[in-house]
Amino acid sequence: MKITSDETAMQRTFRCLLAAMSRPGRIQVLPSTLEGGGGPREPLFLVLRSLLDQEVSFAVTGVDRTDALQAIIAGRTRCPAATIGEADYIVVAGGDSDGEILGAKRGTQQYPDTSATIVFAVRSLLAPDSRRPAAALSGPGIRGEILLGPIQGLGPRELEHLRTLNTDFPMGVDAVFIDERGRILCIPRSTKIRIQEN
Amino acid sequence: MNLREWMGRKKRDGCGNGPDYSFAFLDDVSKREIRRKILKAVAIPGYQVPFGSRELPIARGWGTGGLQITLSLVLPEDILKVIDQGCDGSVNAVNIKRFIQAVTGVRLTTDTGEATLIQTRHRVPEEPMTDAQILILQVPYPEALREVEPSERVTRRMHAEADYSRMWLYLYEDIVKFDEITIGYRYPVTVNGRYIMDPSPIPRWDIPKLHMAETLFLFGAGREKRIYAVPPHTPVVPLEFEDFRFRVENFEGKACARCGATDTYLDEIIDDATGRRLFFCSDTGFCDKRCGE
Repeated sequence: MKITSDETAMQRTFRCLLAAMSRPGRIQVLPSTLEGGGGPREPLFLVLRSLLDQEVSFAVTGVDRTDALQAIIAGRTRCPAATIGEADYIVVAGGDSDGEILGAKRGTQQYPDTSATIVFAVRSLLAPDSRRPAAALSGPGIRGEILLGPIQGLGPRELEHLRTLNTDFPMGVDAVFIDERGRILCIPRSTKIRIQEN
Repeated sequence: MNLREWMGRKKRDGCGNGPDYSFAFLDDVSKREIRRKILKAVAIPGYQVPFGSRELPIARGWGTGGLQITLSLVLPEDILKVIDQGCDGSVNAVNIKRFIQAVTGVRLTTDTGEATLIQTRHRVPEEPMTDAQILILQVPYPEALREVEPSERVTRRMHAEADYSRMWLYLYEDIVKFDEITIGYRYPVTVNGRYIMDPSPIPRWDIPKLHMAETLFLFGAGREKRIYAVPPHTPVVPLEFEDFRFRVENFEGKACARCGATDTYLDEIIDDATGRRLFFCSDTGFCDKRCGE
């Protein structure tokens, strides 16, 4: 048997993603990154490499979108780039899509799985703070209700956009939030988002 | 050449790294597809996600769906338990766990409490599972509506429109004919108030364990190429009528002949010599634990 550390790192990353997707709103910590210095984008690349390849497509949007970032993702995953409306994975660099994610594909009633997954690259995911929660989440994977902590670097209307995209369950999109320290959190389409008024 | 010999052989190039395959057997492209589909399945509880089921060294229909899920997420430090109709020692369970151990090096156990991953055919363990564990169920027929509709195209439309009237009618006709819903296993359930789902051929006894559980349940049908899931804390409600409630198997007055349990799902065994009917816990790991073994 030939075990490379990269293979188990991918498996570990996926387990972390699976834990996050099956328990929405709960922060999980990715395994330490393998490649070099572990810059702020390494956690994002680690997640993308565990999921993306030539079988699916991706798009990059957001305030921090650059052609160089798109080229790095394509180079590391061999995943072809596509438009926002066609992409299976949409990376929101900088955490603010300025409404562009509203054009993401939401699947069909018969095949709701043919929808996009939105990956928000944000600055920092913080533990829930009852004094200033970003939102309250409920639904499968959550016992009762869970408070969503502040997400630094997330656009002010992105949660609202997610709610708009997910009004017609089972059609919808699933969101993954990844911060620069390797912490991740998921909000699948089955989760009800109650945005807190400040 | 048996599995053990094959595992121990040297590479043809003589560098001595053993057989040239990935950790957990499946190649990276296969694992990535299965991972993507598992995440979709978790995000849409009860919905059957199609996937490209791979060839494995066991035949389709013998647990390949569950095996592919296990191989896509197993870690070297996991502790694995595999059961077949509750039994840790049956041929199917032993072959699957030996294979997984051979290609990953994971530690095996028969203790539900100790396991981090449990792959199972047709039972949910008696011991309550925690949020640190994942239960992977092998599924022969993933489509709960297949009894009432043979066409996949039509059942997909029925699921899309939540048109489950024929399933309800099937149950109603059962009651009219037999004064009983005669489905003993694969009892249909509604997941999160949306999809009717086949919980795999677990007995009715195990259905309540899926409801609002701490554990993530993943279902894999290798031959039928479907993956679906029930996340933790998700409502799983068996189909029932207001005046005809779902009920589990009745073992009143019976106890396990080995450990004396009166609160477990029991297998009925007829003693060939005496013709006497005996009952034993179906979950052998649980029974062993109670017996102190």
